[in-house]
Amino acid sequence: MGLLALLMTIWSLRRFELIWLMTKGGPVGATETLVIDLYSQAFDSKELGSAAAIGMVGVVISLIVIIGSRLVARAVEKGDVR
Amino acid sequence: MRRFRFGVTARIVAVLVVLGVAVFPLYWMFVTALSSNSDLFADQPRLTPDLGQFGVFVDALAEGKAAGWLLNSLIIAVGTMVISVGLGIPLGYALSRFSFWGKAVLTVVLLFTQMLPEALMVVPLFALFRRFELLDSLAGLVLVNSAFVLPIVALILKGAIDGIPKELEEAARADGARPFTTLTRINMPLIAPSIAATAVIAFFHAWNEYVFAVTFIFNPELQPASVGIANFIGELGTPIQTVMAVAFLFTLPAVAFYLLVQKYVVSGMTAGAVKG
Repeated sequence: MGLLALLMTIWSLRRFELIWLMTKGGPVGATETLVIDLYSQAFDSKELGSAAAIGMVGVVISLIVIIGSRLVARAVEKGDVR
Repeated sequence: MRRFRFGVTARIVAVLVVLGVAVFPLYWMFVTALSSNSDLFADQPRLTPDLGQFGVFVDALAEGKAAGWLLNSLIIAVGTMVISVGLGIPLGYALSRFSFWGKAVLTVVLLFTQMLPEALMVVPLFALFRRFELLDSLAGLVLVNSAFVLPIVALILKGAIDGIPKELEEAARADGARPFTTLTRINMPLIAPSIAATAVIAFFHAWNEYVFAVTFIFNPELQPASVGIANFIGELGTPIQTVMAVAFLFTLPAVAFYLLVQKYVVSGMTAGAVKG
């Protein structure tokens, strides 16, 4: 369960195409996620600098989730958590 | 006895439901492509295809662009498959059998790259590609797709090679085989199902890829189908039948390819059990 939850979190962080093609983050940012914001900053507003900054934040968030998932996966292998 | 029967019936129903959920969108795509305009916006949705409208498929292909898109997608997907599997086999072998400095770190980093959102990498890759003049070229897309799918391929193949008894390789070495010969003559035939599975994964990854394709390709002639279909969606109007016809043609080769190799895929996936 814990592993599944973390994997779903990672996949949700990665999701881009569906949101971009259906709403582009709109209306007025209601469906905007981190990667959508990054992409529109970079290629709609041409603000490469702020896009890179968003990217760094994204990397940090992803790393936290990924490390968490590794810890949970290791616990599952040991049999501590199910 | 009655309980047993009930179990079988329930299982059949469950399979049919799952099948329906999986197949119905494909069927709906087909029906929508073959509907007239009045059918599309009618109160009662049309559930059977109107075969008299079959010209949509011909039109979609004859208009010229769709065939080119599909060809571009095919080039990208096959290129990605060849490069990532070609590099993934030796990489998986090295990770499985040899010990070298930084191996544990390399394995973990491979896993990490697989989990990072691809869209995060678009901006740095864009800058990099501009410097190397890889923007607006299919070769660039093949490279970037290979880079993103290679970790998965290598880790699955590592798992598969881990499952082969070491004694087989020792026997080959006793007969005078070098590591490379051992890989090609002993290991590769044994992990053929896993190689097929990774080939499918690499192919579909590149076939469905959208973010990089839409960012790095400006020339409409070089667009793959995933981008082309999305570009049909316009502010003023979306030619629904054409979109559905092209989307159906986009799905068909992928399904055909999968059916061709699917008997290897399931065993290959479980043989190379990568956790994480």
